[in-house]
Amino acid sequence: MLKRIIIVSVALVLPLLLILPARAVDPAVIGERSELVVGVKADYRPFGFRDKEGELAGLEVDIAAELARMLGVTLRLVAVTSSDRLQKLAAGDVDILIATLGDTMDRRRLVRMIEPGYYGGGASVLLPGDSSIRVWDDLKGRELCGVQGALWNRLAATRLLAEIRAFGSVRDAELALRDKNCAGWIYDEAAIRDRLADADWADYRMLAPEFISPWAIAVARDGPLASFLDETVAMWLRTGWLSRLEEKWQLQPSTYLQQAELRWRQKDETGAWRCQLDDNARWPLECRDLDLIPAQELAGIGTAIVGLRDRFGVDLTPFYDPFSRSAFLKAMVTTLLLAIAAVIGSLAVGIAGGAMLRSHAWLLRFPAQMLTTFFRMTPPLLQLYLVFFGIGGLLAARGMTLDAIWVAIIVLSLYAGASNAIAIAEAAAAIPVDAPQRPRRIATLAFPAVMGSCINIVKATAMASAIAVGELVHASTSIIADYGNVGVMMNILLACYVALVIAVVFAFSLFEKKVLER
Amino acid sequence: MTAAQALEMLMVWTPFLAEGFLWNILVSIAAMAIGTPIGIVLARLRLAGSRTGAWLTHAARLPPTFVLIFYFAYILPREISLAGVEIHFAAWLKAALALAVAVIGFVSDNALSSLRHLRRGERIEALYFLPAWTTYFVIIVMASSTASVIGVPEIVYRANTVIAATGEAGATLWVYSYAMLWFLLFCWPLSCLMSRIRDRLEGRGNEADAKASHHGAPHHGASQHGAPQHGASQS
Repeated sequence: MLKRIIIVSVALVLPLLLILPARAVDPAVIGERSELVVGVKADYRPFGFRDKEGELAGLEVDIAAELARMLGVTLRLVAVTSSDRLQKLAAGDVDILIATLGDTMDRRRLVRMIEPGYYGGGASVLLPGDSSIRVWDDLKGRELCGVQGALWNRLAATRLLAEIRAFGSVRDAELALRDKNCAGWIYDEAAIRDRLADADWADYRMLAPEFISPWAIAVARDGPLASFLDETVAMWLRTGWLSRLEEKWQLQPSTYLQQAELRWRQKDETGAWRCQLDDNARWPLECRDLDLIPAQELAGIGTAIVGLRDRFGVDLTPFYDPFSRSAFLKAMVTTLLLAIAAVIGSLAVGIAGGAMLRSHAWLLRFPAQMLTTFFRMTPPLLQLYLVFFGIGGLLAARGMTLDAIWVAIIVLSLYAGASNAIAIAEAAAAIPVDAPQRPRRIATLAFPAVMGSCINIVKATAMASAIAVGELVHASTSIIADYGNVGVMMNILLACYVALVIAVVFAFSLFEKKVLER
Repeated sequence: MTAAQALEMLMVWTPFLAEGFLWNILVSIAAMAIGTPIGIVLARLRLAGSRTGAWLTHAARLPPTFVLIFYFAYILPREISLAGVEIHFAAWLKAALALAVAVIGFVSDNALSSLRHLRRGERIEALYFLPAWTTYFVIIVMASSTASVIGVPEIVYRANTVIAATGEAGATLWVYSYAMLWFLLFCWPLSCLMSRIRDRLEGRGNEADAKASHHGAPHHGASQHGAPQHGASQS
């Protein structure tokens, strides 16, 4: 009992002792700024989420607020996602990232991770209760939903040989799991625990966490701010402030935090903290988490590629890594197939729709008019969302699932098909019914507009990335989320699409010359 | 979720979504405001026989807007200073720039055909530019929904927020349908009005090739490959 009282009183007094001097922060830490911009999650209860009033709240928001208070500046929060957080930090959109970011060797090459981590956790898989998956090894060859930019996607694909379908947001991955688009959802254990505490997920269960790693605050580069944060987080571990936050947000006590607090509270014989910054502002080795998820192994030509990156800033390492390379090549094939299928589909829809629009039967003409208006006057991105998540959700309740790539092909075909139908119907109206070679003349007249909408649909295939079809935009943004090689990937992506569009223009022009003008 | 519950939920969220639609309009107006003058300059260059003008127009037509939005979002810095003026590249401005590229291609082609009509003294035919430009604005408004993928708080982005906030599986279909209705109610009447105006103009004009200037309003600058240019450039 006495021991308890001592611990509690120390826990209460220590923060006061430690926080008070910390208030006198060197102004050099964030320069002359009067504002601290912190990137936090908006979709990750209870770490960063929107409360009932739509305000950002959570454990990480509390940390951000405390930092701003210590620095004596106002706080501005920016919502980030797993796929754009490192990018926003690198671009200077945020000064600090506190966004459930796992600390890994790869990421340490991109940003300055604050040591020690303020929290930690591993991966888990959320599964329907009746799933046949019992242990991690059962995941081999199974399709899992994931969230772009999460650490686990790559690990699950390379080590567990699971197929990962990474969605752009947590919400989309959740919906896809509900719609049974995948066998399970691999994500952070903390987020999955939070779901399971909710009645909505009563029929689901999770795998025991794996790949435990610290979560770190990140800043763009080394400097006074980084050192200040290093010391501040260490101080929080010593005072137990983070554990109290954990309790405040009703989280299960995390193994990481318990161990880290023990380690950082150790003192040497003289009564000084064992973990002290050395002359180079680094922690001693025994205090650091070096058991991180390792960087990819690079050898042979790999070292040359790394040299290219370090010397000229041209980062082609993803193409050396078999996982990313095959993902990118697969994405190229997917984009091509999607483009070809959507062009053929839109031509078929256009011809059928054109005939319906010209029909004398009201029963055929009227629905065709309604549908062409609907598909032309609403954004294709919304059409994709509506079908995949809206209708897909309804079907899932009846045990059916929609495949994202088929949804993309059908929606894009209908969307461009509506324009084609009108062009073909107008052309048909202009050519007399008894004219010789009527189909060819209609085709010739409608050709320019049809070609325009087909080129357009090839461009619009990029939108399929929004429903996690693994095409080029999706593959490129996934690679960027892992590697941060923004410039290289974006230029490659743009070049691929420009080449594709030129090829389609060429193919249509060739068709016009060889077939229509003969 | 019953229809009554859904309607009540949509009513509650309407101001939030409506504000999002204002963002769509704002981004689209910015895109037109950036793209139109540049397109007209290119058209004038082309009229003077400039190869650069033709080449730039061609280049503006090629990249998909959706890819460009990502491209600008990732590549453009947060702010640059040009001749002492600080330009802050917010996400919406990046989206507007991506859309403006398509606008440049469209305006360059259509303004060129208008300028040619003017040169021949065909005033009414030259006016075809206006309904075509407005119709293209409608297309850009629809394309502005793609700005949601880089976090511009427009209506699709907000629809996603609403779905996440209500947390009910049944809400998804309702919220997306409602967001679509906004586009439909804005775009359809405007586009009908424009085709009526064009028909009026055609009635006054006496050129036969005018018939070709309407086609199914494709998205993303594709109309540059479409009918009006063929008609105009051949005549």
